[in-house]
Amino acid sequence: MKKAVQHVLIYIFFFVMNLLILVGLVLLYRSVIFYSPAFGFQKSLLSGLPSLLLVCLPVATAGSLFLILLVRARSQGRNLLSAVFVVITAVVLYTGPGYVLLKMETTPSSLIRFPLEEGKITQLGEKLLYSQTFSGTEDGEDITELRNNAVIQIESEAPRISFYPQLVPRIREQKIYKTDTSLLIDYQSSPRVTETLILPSDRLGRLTDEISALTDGLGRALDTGIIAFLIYAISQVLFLSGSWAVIRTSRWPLWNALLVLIFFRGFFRLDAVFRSDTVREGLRILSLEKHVYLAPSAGFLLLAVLFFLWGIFFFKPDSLSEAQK
Amino acid sequence: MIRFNLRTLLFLILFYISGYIYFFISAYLSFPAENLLHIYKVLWIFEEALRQTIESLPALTISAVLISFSTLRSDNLHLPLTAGSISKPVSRTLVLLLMITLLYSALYIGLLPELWKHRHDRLYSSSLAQSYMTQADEAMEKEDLETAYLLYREYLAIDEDNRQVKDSISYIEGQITIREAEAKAPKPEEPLPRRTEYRNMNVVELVEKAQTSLNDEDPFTAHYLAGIALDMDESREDAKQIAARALAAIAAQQPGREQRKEYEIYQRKLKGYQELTHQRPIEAYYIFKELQEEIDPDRDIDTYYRESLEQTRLVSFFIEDAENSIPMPGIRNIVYLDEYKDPSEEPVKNLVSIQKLVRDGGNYWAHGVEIMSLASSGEVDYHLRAQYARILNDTLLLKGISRTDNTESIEPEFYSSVNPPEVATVLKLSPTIVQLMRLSREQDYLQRLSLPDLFQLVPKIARFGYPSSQFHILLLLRLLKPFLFLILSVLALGLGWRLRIRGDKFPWLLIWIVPFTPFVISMLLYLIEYGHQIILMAVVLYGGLYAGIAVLIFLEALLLFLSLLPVALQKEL
Repeated sequence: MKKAVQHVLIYIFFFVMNLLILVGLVLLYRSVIFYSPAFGFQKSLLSGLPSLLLVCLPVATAGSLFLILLVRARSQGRNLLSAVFVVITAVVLYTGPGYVLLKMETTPSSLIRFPLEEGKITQLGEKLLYSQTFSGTEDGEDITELRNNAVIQIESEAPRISFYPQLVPRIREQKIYKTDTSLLIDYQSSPRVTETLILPSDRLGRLTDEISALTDGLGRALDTGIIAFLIYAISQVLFLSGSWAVIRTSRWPLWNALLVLIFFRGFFRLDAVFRSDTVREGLRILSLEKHVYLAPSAGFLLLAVLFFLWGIFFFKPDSLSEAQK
Repeated sequence: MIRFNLRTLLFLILFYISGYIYFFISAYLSFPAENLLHIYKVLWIFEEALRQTIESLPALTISAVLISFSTLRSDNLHLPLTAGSISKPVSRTLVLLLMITLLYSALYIGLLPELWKHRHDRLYSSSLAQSYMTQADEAMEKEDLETAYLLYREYLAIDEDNRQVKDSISYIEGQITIREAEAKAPKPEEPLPRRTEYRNMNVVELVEKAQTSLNDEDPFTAHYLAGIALDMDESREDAKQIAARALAAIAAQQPGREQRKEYEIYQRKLKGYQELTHQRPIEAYYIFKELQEEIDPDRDIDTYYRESLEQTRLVSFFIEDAENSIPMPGIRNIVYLDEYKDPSEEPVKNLVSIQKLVRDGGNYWAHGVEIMSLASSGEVDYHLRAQYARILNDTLLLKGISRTDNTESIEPEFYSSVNPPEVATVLKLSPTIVQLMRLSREQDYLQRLSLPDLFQLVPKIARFGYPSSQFHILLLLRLLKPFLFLILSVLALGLGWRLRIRGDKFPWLLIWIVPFTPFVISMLLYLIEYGHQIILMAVVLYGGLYAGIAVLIFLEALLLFLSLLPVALQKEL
């Protein structure tokens, strides 16, 4: 019992640390991406904190459930009670904050992106923009005009440099217009150099998309009803904790460690697979299209059951192995 | 006693060789035949494999160390302790990892940017050659043989052994020869008017005409006519006399003509000299070049020819030399802001765009130069374009002349100016060549900026119109790599030991995971690097380069300490 409580406390520690680190990194990322030489770091970075916490929640839960495995692997008796306590704690820490965060009204993000700097050249995709001066509102909160500008088209025939005495930025739209209101630059899809340095790779981009999709799935489940939400969240926790049985099978801990990484990545990928059109189509053929929202929960639960069965048939506690010797 | 360092070295070599073979096969299978000339295939595959191996060295090293230690069996290990807490075999392995880190740093800083450059150059040359080929084929279809010939020659400058293009050139040469032969076909011979005219005269008329010519001080005509008269009637004494007197007159004229020629040469030398002393070296160059070709070696002409050539090279370039550099690969899309004060202390602000910068021997050529000069009010002073420009020390020469034809020259064209302003064709260039090469805005220019490049560029980058923060971040990211390499290798040692196989038997069934380890490790590495990038970037944007360096040192020192902990905490190690 003492061990179980210890493990629960350690799990809570891991969970909180993971959440803090993740939120910290995401906040730093947003501060860099939305950094503007003209406005500096933006004050409203924390405005979307609930949605940020929500996105980090499944990652922190998955990470903590795998980290606790390190502690459980060290302890002599991998007793069931400890595992149950940890799983219950994980469910509570996942569903509770998840429910609260989903119910919280998230204020629309008021972050602006304005990468230009007075008297400097800024690369925006294939175009480079030089603006000598900016002018704006008296409180300095907005920039309404760019004066004496030159635009350099990198990959084009001469003349590659064009001069514009005035340009009109629409910062909210992330666009720059000529004075005749025609569009000159749309920098929404054109990252500048500082941004390209930290833009996630395709692989990481896919992972973050899948994490967002999973979080959206939680929201949709809650919209369906609290029971659907709980089933979905609990099925995820059971899948993650059920994977412990598979992870600990081998006598080569390095292999087990690699399995942890594969399960961690696979968790988000599986959720995307359960929501894929193929699964949707399969359910339609089986005339189960009404229950399509339950597919991820059912998928995770099924795998969790398989893992538990694997554990029952193949898992030998250390104490038992030693006794057999 | 197990010699960990040798075992680790063996695993490292095994992983490096396997990595190189894997990337070699991958480069072979993914060779971009559509974008690359076949002549580059072998070098491309070897160098791409090397480039990717160097880039993957951290993942390969960490995997090798992990596997090396995690496959140890603890039952027969007897490690002698050193004076400290870490055993001798482990400390030797740490030294080995340190040496591998140094090797990685050298390859990463020194070789990797070069490999990126080679990759870029080959892709560029191939695209240029393909463009020549397409244009040449189009010209052939239009039967524009001259254009096709020139384009095929340009193509051959890149892919010199291309049999197909050589055949095309031979075919065109043949066609051109046929055309020229047709053009030179003998035409009906026209009668020599003068001779025929004179042949129509009788002897008396010829002698009279000869006498008149002699009186008019035209001894050549007189001698010629007298000769025809004598052909007709050898006995004409008067014709003989006229011929003799005319010959004497011709002989008497000889010294006078030489003197005149000498005088003429003297006058031309003087003019050339005056042009040179009046700061018109190009005019002087043409005069002395012509003189040098016309007459026997002359010390003055040789001296002033060399002098005028040297001075010409300071204010202009030869179009032929510039054109030779067209097919060469170079650094593309250089853009920067040039701010300085002219000799009259007036501030100059030029926005400069160079399409391609080429190095040809000791010369640097800028192709497709565009300069927009901004007045202090911010408005455009002038906007010019030059097809070529030569970079000489700290100047940009915009005027091109022909080596032989003094009527041929190229000068900058001006945009949106009814009356082109008087702009000197020799412009000041603030960045050095090395700095200029680093100001490229090409798609992969970030990869080609090495650590020494960044050290050179960072202190001055703001002068060239770019925010310095992005280069500060790049500098820190480059510095980060070797740090992370060492830290994670040491961590792999501790983790490998911690993740050793349990029990007596080796789980051979799991051996297949070994080749996959570097892939999983590379994903983890990416995440760790990515986390660093975000932290360092936020710090640089907030506190500048020095704050970034401080955080980098602190963070890496902390991580090194943490990576050593698993090693230090293991009683057996």
